[in-house]
Amino acid sequence: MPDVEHTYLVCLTSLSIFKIVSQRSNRVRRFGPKALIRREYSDSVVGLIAISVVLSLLVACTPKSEQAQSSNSRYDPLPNSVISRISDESLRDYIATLAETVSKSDSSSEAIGRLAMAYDANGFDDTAESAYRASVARYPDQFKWQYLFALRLQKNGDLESAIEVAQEAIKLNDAYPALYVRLGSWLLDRGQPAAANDAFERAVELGAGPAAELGAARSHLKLENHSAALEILRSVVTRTSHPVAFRLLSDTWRELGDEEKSREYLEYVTQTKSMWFDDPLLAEMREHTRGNGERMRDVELMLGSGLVDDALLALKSLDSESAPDFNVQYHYALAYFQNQAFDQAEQHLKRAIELEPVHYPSHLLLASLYQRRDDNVNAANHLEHVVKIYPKLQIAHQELGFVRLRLGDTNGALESLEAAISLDSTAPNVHYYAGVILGERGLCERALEKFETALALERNHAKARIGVSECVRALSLSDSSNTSAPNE
Amino acid sequence: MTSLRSWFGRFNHFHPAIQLLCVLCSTLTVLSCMEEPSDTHSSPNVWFDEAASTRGLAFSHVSGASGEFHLPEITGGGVALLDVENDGDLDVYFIQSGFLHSEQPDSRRNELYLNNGDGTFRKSEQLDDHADPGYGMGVATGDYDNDGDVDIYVTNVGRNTLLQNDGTGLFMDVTTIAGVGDESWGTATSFADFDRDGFLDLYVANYLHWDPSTALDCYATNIETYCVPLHNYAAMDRVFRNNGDGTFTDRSLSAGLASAFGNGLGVVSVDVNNDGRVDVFVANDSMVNQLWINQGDFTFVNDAWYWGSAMDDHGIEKAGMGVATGDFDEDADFDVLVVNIEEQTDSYFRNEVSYFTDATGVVSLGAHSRRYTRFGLIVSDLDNDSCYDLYQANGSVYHDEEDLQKVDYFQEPNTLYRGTCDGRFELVSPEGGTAQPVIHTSRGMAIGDLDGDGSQDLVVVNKDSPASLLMNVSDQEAASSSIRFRVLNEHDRDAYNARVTAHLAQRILTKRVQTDGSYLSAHDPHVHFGIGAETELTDVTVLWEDGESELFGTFAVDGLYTLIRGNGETVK
Repeated sequence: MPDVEHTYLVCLTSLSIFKIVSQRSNRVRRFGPKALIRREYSDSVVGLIAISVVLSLLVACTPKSEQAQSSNSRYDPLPNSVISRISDESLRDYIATLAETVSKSDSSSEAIGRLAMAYDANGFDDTAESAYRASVARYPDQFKWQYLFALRLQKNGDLESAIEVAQEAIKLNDAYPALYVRLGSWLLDRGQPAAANDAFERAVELGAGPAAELGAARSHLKLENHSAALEILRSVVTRTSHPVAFRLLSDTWRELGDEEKSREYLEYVTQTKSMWFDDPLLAEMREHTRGNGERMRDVELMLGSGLVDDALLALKSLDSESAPDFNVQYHYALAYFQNQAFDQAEQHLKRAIELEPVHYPSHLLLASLYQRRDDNVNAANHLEHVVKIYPKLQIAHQELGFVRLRLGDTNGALESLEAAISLDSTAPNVHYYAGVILGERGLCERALEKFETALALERNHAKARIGVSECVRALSLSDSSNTSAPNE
Repeated sequence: MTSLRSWFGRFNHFHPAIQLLCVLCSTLTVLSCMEEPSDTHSSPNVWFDEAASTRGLAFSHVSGASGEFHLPEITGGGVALLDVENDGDLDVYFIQSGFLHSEQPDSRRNELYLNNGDGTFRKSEQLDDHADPGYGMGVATGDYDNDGDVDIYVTNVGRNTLLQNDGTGLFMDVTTIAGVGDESWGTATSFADFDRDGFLDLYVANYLHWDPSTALDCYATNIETYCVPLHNYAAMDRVFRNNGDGTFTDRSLSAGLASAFGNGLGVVSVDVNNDGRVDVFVANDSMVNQLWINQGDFTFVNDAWYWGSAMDDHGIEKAGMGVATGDFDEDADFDVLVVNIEEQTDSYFRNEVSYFTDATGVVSLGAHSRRYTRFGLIVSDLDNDSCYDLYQANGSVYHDEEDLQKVDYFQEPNTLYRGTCDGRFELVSPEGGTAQPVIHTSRGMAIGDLDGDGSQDLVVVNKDSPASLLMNVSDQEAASSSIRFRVLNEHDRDAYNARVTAHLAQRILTKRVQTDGSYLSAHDPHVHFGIGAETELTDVTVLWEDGESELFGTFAVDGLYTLIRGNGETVK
């Protein structure tokens, strides 16, 4: 219904109600006392109905945007029944305290926002969306809530709304680089490369770095603007060896029809990794993470992204706030291992095993650490633990085989290598070393079989190739000696 | 406006009670007009009726979930639509998971439901002896022995099973003789003739190395839930070459599969580079996908990195689950769609013959697809308007405290997208296209015309819940019709991967005979063309698996036809 006609009808309806009520009041005055009492009661009912209808109409006359704002500014906090079931005490107390602060007295932007961030950082995705929505409705001029709300909407799968909110956020702050990087990426997902390119280029202007530049290259590629994409990518790869940069270079050459160049650049793409960029507001939100589960996930992400120092900081805070946890110790070790601080890694692995003796990843990592130091005895000891705990773990048998071989225990080594092959026959080195042992024992036919398998699995396995030729020579010598024997 | 004013003039003469009543009514009308419109999606019509219970499909999946959060519990199971007795209608074979600890072996029996000929079903009791005792995952269907009936291959957590059909719907376990009892955690699987010798070979995707005794405890926001697959080592896939005598040879190593493997969950065997040889696309969970390009000598080279299908456009390896292929953009090659975990978009890999372009955003799947974790996947013409539509069976894989309020922690609604015929998909309301949303932890899903009415129906497996039978009612009023083909090769078996090309007015549509795809499931092998308001398909041509083509001519609307090799006119 068009707005003008709609408003006109509402106003006419309101006027007619007042008219009915006033007509009925006039009639009451024209009748006797009994009728007066009865009609007064009746008129009161009519009056009440009329008032309620008028109130309804007032609500109806309220502009839609105001209604929406009013309902948006409310939110459904996490029910107490859910809060009370949160198993991690620190998280439960944290959420409960923040929620109580908001419900009792403090409805400031910071209080509601803090609660929203706490929900967000700890995996309460729907409640976080609701709380951000309330923050934005109550404090529409604050960039931080608009931005975090957009992020949450996108993560919750509502990309359209996320883009809408992000565009509102830009009106409040047009100089936050991370927003443009994200918006560009979302617009690409929505199939709008030209708009995405605008966003990425603005992010580049604001100094968002390679993530923004790669985004711009991606959008150019979508727009089939290959030369612009190439220009950006050639510049980026001089500053970073991030796999996304090389993949995009490969894609560009592929689309230009140069398969050779495309494949050449693919050689540099050995892993997938998302491009990191600075986002202080996201970092602020993540500071609200409590409880080990979610924080451990963050630690894993940090370690996966090579942010070892950040991971160590997060682990330190976890370690100081919670009861001793083997998983924390293990992740400490992983972080130190990445930093090549092997002594510290060893300490934490020993602590992890002390706390959880059957945690096989700790044994495995410790064995790897001892192998680095050529301490094969200790390495074998921990690998034997792993094999006992997890007999179907191929890698444990494989490594134990290698370690035993270094220790000169060829029987044990062969046993381990055969066990590894029975679990997974696709590792060329396992076949190769089994072949070496068999060859040394003079079992050339069996050794040849192993070397050939290693070669089938890895065509350029030089040692296996040598093994094959040595075995073939030994076998042919043996054949010739066998055949020549009668003549002699 | 004038008419409103004159109406108000007359209104003053009515009895006050009537006046009040009118005012209240008009007020309520106005207020109702003030309400925000419900979701903005396009067509409000119902596409499917849920009819499992009324049509006798009584299967209920059992995951054996014990509170220990063992990974297999959240992964199964699949379903196959196939004609086990060769009586011309589609029967339904369900893969049961059951209890991991086998104290209750009966809990693992797969179930076969026979079609009464009208889309109603009765449970086959005869299957019980051959129902496969494994903790079931997926299924492939195909006539591996070329004896004119369809056989079944079942993947399990543990030894897989090959069930040979005797032609009457009775099955015998021939796994040991055939040599296909791979012991890994098998998931998606596909029959295809990789060496073009006339016999169906077998590709089996394996998920990961998992052992309950060493499974880790995993947490999401501090409550225990299912682990992500990265805590385990990926398992190598297997490819078995059919020897043509009822046995297979495991050619995985010599075929080159050891060069790359991941946590495989979705598989399609399809010729992506139009060289006449069947390639294999594998969707991996949280690892890069593989694209095995068939070299023609029963070896394969993984070229997913070059083709651009290893990861998505952002450079991220996604958690791939279900997969589907089709010539979505009508350029005579097969595109691939992969569905992923929540927070990750679908991946639409548009085929450019020698590589893929990630065109997810272009087809409008980037905006809506992140909300749920998608497993089962159908891309087919569901409303017979001649354009591809999209159905996704959803259900999460982990839960957090917020989900503890739900009966089923992992449940999510299914989603339906209508193809707009200009290459995009738009979300349909009501969600999932049913009057009452189907909200379960859905997994496998298969498509086929179960009641022979010319429209395609869906069967969905729901974790720890009754299966859904979604009978298609989308074209009851619209001007939409279909033509279906059964395509048989010289062995009288469904000619898997044969391409059927047809002219529909000015358009050229290309489809293939396929049963693989979706998630852990096997579809009806009939080739289905929705033709909208048109009345015929012309120049219907079949490109057989060995590269020869035959022209079969023109076919009229609302028919089911059989295209038999040798009955057409050879095309050079």
